[in-house]
Amino acid sequence: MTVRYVPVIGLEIHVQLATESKLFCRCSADYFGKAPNAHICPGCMGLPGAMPILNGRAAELAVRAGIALSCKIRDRLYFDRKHYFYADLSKAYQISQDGRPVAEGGLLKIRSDDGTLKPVRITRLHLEEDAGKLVHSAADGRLEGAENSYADYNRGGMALAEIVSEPDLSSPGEAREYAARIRQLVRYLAVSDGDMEKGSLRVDANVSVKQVDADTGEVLAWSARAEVKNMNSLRALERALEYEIRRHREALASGERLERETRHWNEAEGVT
Amino acid sequence: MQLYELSATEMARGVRAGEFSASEVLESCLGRIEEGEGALAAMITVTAGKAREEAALVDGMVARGEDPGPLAGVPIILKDNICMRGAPVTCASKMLENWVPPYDAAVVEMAAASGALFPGKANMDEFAMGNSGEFSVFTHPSNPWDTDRAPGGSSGGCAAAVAAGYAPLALGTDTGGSVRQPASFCGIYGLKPTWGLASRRGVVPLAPTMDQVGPFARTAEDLALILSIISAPDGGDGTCRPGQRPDYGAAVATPSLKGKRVAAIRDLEGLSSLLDDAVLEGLSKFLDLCRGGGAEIVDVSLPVTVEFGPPCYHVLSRAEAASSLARYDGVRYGLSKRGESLSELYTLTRGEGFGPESKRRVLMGTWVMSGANFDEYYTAAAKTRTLIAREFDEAFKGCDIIALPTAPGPAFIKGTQGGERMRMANLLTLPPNLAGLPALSMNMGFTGGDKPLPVGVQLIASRWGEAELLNAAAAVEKSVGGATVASLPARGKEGEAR
Repeated sequence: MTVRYVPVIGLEIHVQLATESKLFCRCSADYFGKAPNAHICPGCMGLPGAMPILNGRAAELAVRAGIALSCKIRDRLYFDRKHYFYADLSKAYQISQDGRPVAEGGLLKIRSDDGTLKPVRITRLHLEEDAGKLVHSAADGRLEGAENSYADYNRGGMALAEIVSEPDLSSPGEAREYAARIRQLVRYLAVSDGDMEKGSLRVDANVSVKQVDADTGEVLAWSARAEVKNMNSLRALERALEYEIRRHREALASGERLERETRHWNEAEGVT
Repeated sequence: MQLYELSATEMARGVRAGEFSASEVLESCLGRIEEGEGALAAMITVTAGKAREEAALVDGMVARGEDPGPLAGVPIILKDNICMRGAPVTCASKMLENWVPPYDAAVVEMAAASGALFPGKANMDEFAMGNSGEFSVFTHPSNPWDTDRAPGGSSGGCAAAVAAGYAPLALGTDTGGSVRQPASFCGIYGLKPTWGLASRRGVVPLAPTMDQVGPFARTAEDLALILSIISAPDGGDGTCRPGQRPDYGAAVATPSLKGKRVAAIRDLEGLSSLLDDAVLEGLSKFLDLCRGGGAEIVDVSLPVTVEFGPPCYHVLSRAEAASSLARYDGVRYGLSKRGESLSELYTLTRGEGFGPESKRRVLMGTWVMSGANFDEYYTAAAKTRTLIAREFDEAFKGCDIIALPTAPGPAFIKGTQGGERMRMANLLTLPPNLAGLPALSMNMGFTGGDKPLPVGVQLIASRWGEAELLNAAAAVEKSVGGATVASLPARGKEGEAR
C-alpha cells in the first residue's frame, strides 16, 4: 500500500485597520516606533470608570473587507469580552466578537499550485482590539533569562479585523498565495497597510497532516493540529509551514503521537 | 433652622438670591459632618478644602451678578465609586485605597457645572457589593436613626449622610437595590433611573448591564432637581441614551394621581409572612393615599420575576462582577504586591487587595462563565432576564406604577446581615435592574418603639418613566411630608472615619 500525506491548513489573519484612532478610544493609531506608553489614555489603559466608545471608521473598514470577501454582513454589531490574565492586556479581557461576528460565510478565490482557480472559504471576519506588548530585559529580548519585563500599551486597543479561513489550503504555496491575496485586498481597499514587518498584518497558521491510502483515498490517520505563530513575512509563512508539515509527516510515518499545541516560528534557526 | 436642614432647592434659591452664601451653607454642612462622623462613619474621605474652593467660586459668581446654576452652593456627597479629581476613589477596597482618578465622572462634571459643591466621598460596601455597608474594608457605617443598626448597602454612607444632614443630596450607584434599600433604611428618597438615562462615565463598574447612578434626597422636589442635572445625555458613555429628557421639575411642581393606575403585585401575597408588619402597613398606607388622590388601585402578576428573578440576578451579577474586577491585577495602578513571577504578582495582589465578598463573587462569577457552565448558567440567566423584561412590559399595559415594599423590614442590627428575612431583600429591589426599569424608594412612616425606624415603599415605572415616579412621590409627599433630618447621637461612639 502506498500512502500520501495531505496537508490541511487554515489561516487566521489579523489585520490592523487603517483608522486614525484606536478601536474604543481616541488615542492616535500612529503608534509604531513611538516612545513606550506615549499613545495611551484612561480608556485603553483600562482605568476604573473609563468606558469604551466604538470607532465607527473601524466598523466601516471591517464591513468593507467583509463585502470584498463575499461575506454575509450582520446589520448590528455585537461585542464580547474574552478574559485572560496577562500583563499586556489592560482590562484583563479583550473586547472581541465571539458569537456574532460582523461578517461571516465568505469566499476568496486563489491561484492554486497547479495554476487552477481554487475557492477558499472564509469562516468569519470579526472586529477586536489588540493587546499591548511586553519587553523583556534579557540581552536578546526573549523571555528566557530575562530579569525584568516592561509593559508598553501603545498597541493596546488598536483596531484589528481577524479574518479566519476554513482549512481549505493544502500546501505552503497555497497558504502563501492566500495570505498574499488577503494582503493585496486590504491594501487595495485601504482597509490596512498590510505591512507584515510592522505587524499590521499577522498570520497564524493552523496545520495538520492527514495520511491517506493513495489507492482507495481512505484517510488512515490525522496528526494533531498545531498553531504556528510569529511569521513576519510571506516567505516565513511558507518556510514555517514546510517545516511544520515535514514534522507532522515524520511523526505520522513513525507512528509518534503529536500533542495539540501552539508553536513559534524561529526565523534564524528555521524551526518552530 | 440651620442651613444644613434646608432642601437643595431652598439652598440654591437662597444662594442665587444672595440671602446666604455657598460658603455658609458648606460650613453648616461640614459642621454637621464633623459632629456626626464619630458615630456614623458615613464618609471615607472628607474633601473640605476642595469644597471650600468650590464654594468661594460660587460666591464670587453671585457677587459678580452671574448665575452659578440650579445647584448653586448645594453640597453633594458622592459614593466612593464615583470618580472625582483630587481625591481617591477607594471603592472601600484596599485595591484602590490610594488611587486618585485623573478625571471627574460625567455626573460630577454636570453637577459641578450647575454650581454644586463636593464635600466628600461616602462609605460603601467594597466595590458596591453588600447590603449593609459592612463589607467596607475601612469602617462600618451606622444608621443615624439608631447607630446600632446598619444604614443599608451598598450606598449606605450616602443614605446615612443625607439622612443626618451632611448634605441635602448624594449620588450613589444601584446594581440590585444599592440606592433604594439604604434610602428605605435611612428614611429618605432614593432613585434608580432607567438603565441608560444617566451617564456612567467615570463610575467604577460592578455589573455594567445593571449599574446606574442614582440620587438620594429628602424631598421629591430635590430628587427631580438633581435628576434633571445628572440625566443629561453624554457621548462619553455609549450606553447613555441621546436626546431630550422629560421636564422632571414639572412632574413635581403640580403632582396629581388622578386617573393613575397604581398596581400591587399579587404574587408577593404568598411571601407576606417574610415581610415585617410595618412594611406591609407602609405599603397599604401608600396605596390608600394614592386611592385618596384619585388613583385606581389594580393588581398585576409577575410570576416569572418573583420565582426566577433572584437566581437570574445572582448568576448575571456575579459573572459581570468577576469580569469588572479582573483588571485589578497590580500591573498598572492600585495595590501591587511584587512577586517572583507574573502569576505570583496577580495572586498576591488580588489575594490581599480584595475583601471576602469580592473574592466570593469573583469565584462564583468565574465559575458560572467557565466551560459548560456558561450555557447552563449564564446563557440560561440571560434568557430568563429577557422573559422578566417582557413580563414587566406586559404588566405596564395595565398600570402606570407598581408599588411594593423596598425592603422586607426596617434597618437591621449591625453584624447580623439581617438574618433569614433579609435574604429576600434582593427579591424586592433587583427586578428593576434586571429589566432596566426606573424605581424609587420613599419613606412611608416609622416603626413603633423607643427608637422608631424608617420604613420605605418602592415604586417602579416603565422604561424612561422617571417623571411618573416623581409625580406620584410628590403627590403622596403632600400628605406625608418630606424626610426629616435625623438627630445625631452623642459624640465619640463607634469607629472613626479615615
